[in-house]
Amino acid sequence: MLINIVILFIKDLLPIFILLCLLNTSVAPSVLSKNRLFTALVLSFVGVFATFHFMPTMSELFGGVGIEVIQSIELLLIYFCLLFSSSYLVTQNKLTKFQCNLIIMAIVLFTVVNASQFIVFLDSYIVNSESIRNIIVGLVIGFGICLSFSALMYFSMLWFVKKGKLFIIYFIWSLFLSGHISQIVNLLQQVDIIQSSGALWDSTNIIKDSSEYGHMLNTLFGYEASPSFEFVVLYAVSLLLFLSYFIFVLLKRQCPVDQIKEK
Amino acid sequence: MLKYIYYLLCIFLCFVSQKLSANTTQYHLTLENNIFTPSELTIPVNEKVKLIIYNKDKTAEEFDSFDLNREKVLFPNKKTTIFIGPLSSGQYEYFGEYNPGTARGMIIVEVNNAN
Repeated sequence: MLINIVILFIKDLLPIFILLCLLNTSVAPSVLSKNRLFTALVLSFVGVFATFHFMPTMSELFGGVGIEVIQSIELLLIYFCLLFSSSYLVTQNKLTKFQCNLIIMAIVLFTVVNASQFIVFLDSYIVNSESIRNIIVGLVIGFGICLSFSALMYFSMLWFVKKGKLFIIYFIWSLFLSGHISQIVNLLQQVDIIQSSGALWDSTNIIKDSSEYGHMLNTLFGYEASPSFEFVVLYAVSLLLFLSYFIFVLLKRQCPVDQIKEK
Repeated sequence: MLKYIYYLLCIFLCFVSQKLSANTTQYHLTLENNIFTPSELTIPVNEKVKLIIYNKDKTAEEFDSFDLNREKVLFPNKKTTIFIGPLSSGQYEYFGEYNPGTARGMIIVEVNNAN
């Protein structure tokens, strides 16, 4: 039971820690002020509990595919909000109010998508479990792991920022978001909105999805041991889109300087 | 801009409803006292099938399978539908994520031997 709580904590809540860590260190450090963080926290709290409350109703929408459709739309919104707001990494300019709002919206949606699943599990456990002590111990261990991992990541990111390795940070950032947006394929395939063409390869012998490494890599980069063709295509497209945007912003930034030099 | 998003959403939802009306072979699973019944389900090879799971328990459970890349919450006293396949022959494990010790089962994919 303890292991199960810890695994679910890593699976559902670690992505939120990683997102906040990446945003705070490199992608949008000026956005996470106390006021904005408080707003995001309140909105996330309301969103998570509203989703938890309405989840059974949501699951029956559109002929039983409501949760998948709504989550896919949320994941798409998160991806595009964070894509348009990640220009800070290249330009180092102050983010506009619109970009800040997009980031707050993305944080709230990301928290709602991930944490609502955890609340469903927690509710089920509390009802079934005879002892609340095991749940509390599991939560403390899970929280400790997430916090330690975030701290490690925080200092690694700060080191990259200090060394000016912007492309590495951007690459990690794009892998993280591509991993999450690619989950749309699995969601829509399980309700038959997207056809499944079977697994493209099987790397279960190297890293199992169910192993600790599998969970960690899935959280970080969306690792799947046996991904479908559609999953790989969406992953590649979102990665390319992100990297193209990086190059586009980089060129746009360099252009005015070159023009001034020519004059 | 909002108009275009609305149109896109409408097209997407039409596509969803059209897809859902398509015919696929159905298989049934029941979750009761945190145990899936039948624990082994045989389906045909290279064919997409519809799995209807009825959660008779008072609490939610999550149908999870790393082999099938499927993950869906089963709400209490509700039926849930999951599509799986087309799959190559073999055994595919699934489990209830909240009670992995008891809620376990296997999808067996065989040629011409589906139950």
